[in-house]
Amino acid sequence: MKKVFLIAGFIILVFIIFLIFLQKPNQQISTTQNKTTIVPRDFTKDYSSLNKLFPGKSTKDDVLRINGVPLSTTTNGNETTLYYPTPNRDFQNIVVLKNNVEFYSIENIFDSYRGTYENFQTAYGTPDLTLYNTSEDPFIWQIFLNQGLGVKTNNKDIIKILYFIPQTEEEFLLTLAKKLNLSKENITPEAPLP
Amino acid sequence: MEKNQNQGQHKGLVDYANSLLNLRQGASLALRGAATGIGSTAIWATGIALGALFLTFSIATFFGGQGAASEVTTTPLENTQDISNLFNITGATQTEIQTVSDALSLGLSFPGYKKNFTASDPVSIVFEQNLTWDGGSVNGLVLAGNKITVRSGLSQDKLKYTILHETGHLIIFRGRAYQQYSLSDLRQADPDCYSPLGYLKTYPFANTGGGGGVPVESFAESVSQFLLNRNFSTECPSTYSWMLNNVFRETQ
Repeated sequence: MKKVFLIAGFIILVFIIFLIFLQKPNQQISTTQNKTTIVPRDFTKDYSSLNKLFPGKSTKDDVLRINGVPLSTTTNGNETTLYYPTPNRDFQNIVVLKNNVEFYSIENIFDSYRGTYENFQTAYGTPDLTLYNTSEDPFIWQIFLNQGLGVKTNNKDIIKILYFIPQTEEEFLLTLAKKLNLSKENITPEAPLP
Repeated sequence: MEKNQNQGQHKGLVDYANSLLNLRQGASLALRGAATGIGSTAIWATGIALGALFLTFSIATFFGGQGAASEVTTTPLENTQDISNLFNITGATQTEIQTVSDALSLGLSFPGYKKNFTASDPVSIVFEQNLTWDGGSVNGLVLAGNKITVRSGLSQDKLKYTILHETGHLIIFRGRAYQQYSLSDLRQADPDCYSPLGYLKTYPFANTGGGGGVPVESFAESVSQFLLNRNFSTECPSTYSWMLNNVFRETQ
């Protein structure tokens, strides 16, 4: 009788391990580091060329040629993310490729070399969407869907720029907004403090 | 939370108290020195006179203090007060308004700090009873780039600290300093100043996590420490220098 229980227990254990194995994503995530990448130091200088790329058109080769060699690269299935250094060690620019074509990119801006939010409004009109971070900062994202541009701003300075393939609001909210944790509602607007 | 907060209420305040004690010691020594060489009758007469003066002062302070205390607890002001056209305070008692004004004056004496509040809309500071956020009690809250909400009835020290910490959050939103703030570098340079989670140690939730996240809270905490902790420059020299050069000096 004891033997039967042992065998049954063993079979159940093997079955559980099998189930866990089945649930694991079959995609492999790999990361490569590059130590030769040049790290920008000057906050006042335009250090990045992500604004010269075209999401939906630029290939990985274009990205490497125009924006240089990334600091590191992560590949997850057909999606590759290139990480680029900025003058602040705590922030990195990213370029996300799908099947080796730029899907979107995010550029950190440290000075006024990309203009002000007012400049964006003058050029592109009223933004189509105002989105909020679901995490920790009070900046807002203003999205210009037809131009494939999003700016993170305090309504004066540009803090980050999102470059993406022009798309509909529904499409944007379903894909990029989710990916970047952006929401139409200001869920956690700010921090509780002592 | 409160325990942590009290720890975080700073050596700065302790040091401040110590410095006052030192001053008093100095005064007493000076008095003793002045009395040397004078006759014993003169010393007795001086002692009695000083004693009477002290008694009178104590009685006056006691009754004056009682009056002030009752004003604080029973007559909250509903009207909006203005501090140099930069801050509008609502729902505060006269004492709270004075404390906020004192705290902000510390910051506003630095041109870089002041610039954050002169270049944008005035900040509204709203006092609320039983302030909560995300289900928990909090002493202060920044809901947008131009509003600070503060719990009513905080002690003067806590209120000063809370207000200055919250203005640190507003500075994040109002300028470019935060983008150039590299917490990784500062943690490396001042390792003893930061908790294992990465927060500046004086932040009340430094060991449990919380608030708006590590860099945001450490930045805001550094602003309050810069202004309140007299030993900040020696305890956390790199963080202090960074704050001085990027937030408090005019050339930011």
